[in-house]
Amino acid sequence: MKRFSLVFLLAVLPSPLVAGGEIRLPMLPAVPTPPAPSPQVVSKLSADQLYVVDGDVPFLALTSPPGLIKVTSDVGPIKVRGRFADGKGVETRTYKGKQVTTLEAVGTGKCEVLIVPLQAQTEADVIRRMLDVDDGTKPIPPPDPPKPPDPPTPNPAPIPVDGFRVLILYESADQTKMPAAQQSILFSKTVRDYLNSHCAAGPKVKDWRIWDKDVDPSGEAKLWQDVMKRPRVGVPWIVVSNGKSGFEGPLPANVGDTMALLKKYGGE
Amino acid sequence: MGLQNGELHINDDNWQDHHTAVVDGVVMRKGLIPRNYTTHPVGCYGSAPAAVDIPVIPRSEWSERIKDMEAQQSRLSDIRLAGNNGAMIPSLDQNGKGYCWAHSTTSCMTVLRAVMNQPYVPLSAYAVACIIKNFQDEGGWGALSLDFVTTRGVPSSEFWPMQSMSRSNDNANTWANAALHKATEGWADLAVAAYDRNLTFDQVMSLLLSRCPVVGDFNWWGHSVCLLDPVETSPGQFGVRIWNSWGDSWSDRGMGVLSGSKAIPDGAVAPRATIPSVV
Repeated sequence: MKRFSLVFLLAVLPSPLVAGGEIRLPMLPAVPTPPAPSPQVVSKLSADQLYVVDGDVPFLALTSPPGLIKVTSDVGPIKVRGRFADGKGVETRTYKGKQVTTLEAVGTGKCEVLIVPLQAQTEADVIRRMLDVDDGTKPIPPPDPPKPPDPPTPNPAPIPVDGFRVLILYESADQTKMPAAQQSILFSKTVRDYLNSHCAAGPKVKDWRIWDKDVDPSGEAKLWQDVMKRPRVGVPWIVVSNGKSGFEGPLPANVGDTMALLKKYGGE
Repeated sequence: MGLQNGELHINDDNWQDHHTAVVDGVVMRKGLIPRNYTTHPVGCYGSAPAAVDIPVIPRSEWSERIKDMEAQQSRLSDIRLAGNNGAMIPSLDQNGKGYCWAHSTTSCMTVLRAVMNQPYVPLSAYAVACIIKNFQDEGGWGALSLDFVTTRGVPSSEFWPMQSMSRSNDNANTWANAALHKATEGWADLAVAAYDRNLTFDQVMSLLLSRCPVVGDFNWWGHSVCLLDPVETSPGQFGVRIWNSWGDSWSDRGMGVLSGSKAIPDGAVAPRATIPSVV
């Protein structure tokens, strides 16, 4: 079998061996980083570039899908001037193969290129490349649209009953250890007046409670029994609910912060 | 400073003037008797939980804290004055019986419920005293009644009318209701020497600064009352606001201030939590 010397543009890789010789596809030079530089396959074809296949044997250049790449073939050797897919800037190159086929971008998209030697006998003789083709006509994408505000984090009501309700839990054994400012929350007239004026009406008192964390709520309404079963991390703890959303977390540090929290869910 | 208009201030200079009180023309009874440690030895009360150390708030902080409590109207007396759906919770009236020691605990339970925003329930101290004393008009001490309230609770006046000593009140329904009004935690340490029940003034003040009501027994007075607030009677001088059980006509709506040595209780226990209930 006649052996061909196939040289692809600037390729330094061992050229694929096909029946009857080699076919050379454009290859980027090896990256000069020791110890084992490896050539890089050319995978992009821009509008002003030429993708030249230089063959010592005749071959077919097939592209898919059609319409993205224009294929032209010449008998070599020939001299070509232009920008090459595996080069930089404008160059003049001489291709010495018997068939020199040039691929040019005429569309935009991913395109499969198959180089099929006419003497191919097995699938292994076929060379396949995938190219990102860009003919330059792709409209410039508009700038990223402004990011819409994050949707509100779902914060389901910890007490799934219509109306504003508040539960504060603390450890009465630690009451004398609480910081004075935080302790005031439990007894402050400002807080109590707000709760009395904003909380839903219960059977006998407004629906807010301030309890030791260990109380037995079995004598209370079911909604309070349910909220006592909700997970919590430590005390003092506050549960605020307006029936649609709410807050569960550590008790704020002072009356001012507590009032801000209450007003967030209970209104002014 | 600290005192309300019309509020009695009983101190080391005038205490003899108030040792016997006349309210609305009636001489008030008291009823404290010192605990008899022979018949009630240390450890005889099994209902209270284990001892709890009470962190003492330094005296250097008292004045500022009291001012803040007054400014924010966050004292127990403030809560009492609005604890009946915005109206004042009335004072108990022991009505001539020597049951002060049961009323002091019952008043503490009442204000605890108000702190928790539980509906005002007129609790009947007579139920506690009558059962403990087998319906006899006898004195006692605060820890005696707190132990009972921790074990069995105190019923509402719906089940045991105020000032009633009828044995017909003593029935299952009454005590089922009383169980809804138990003290669930207390400061009294029943496992140590009896004198440890006698909290020091600093401990009492620390509890009051933290809005824990205290049952205070005062031997000089022969009386047991509910302690509500810390009070700075003059710069650097401190006392306690009490809630008496002589009705609202005594002092200022039933509340007055003790200071000096007269503010140091000879016995003190403090319930700090009760069962929430809407009944």
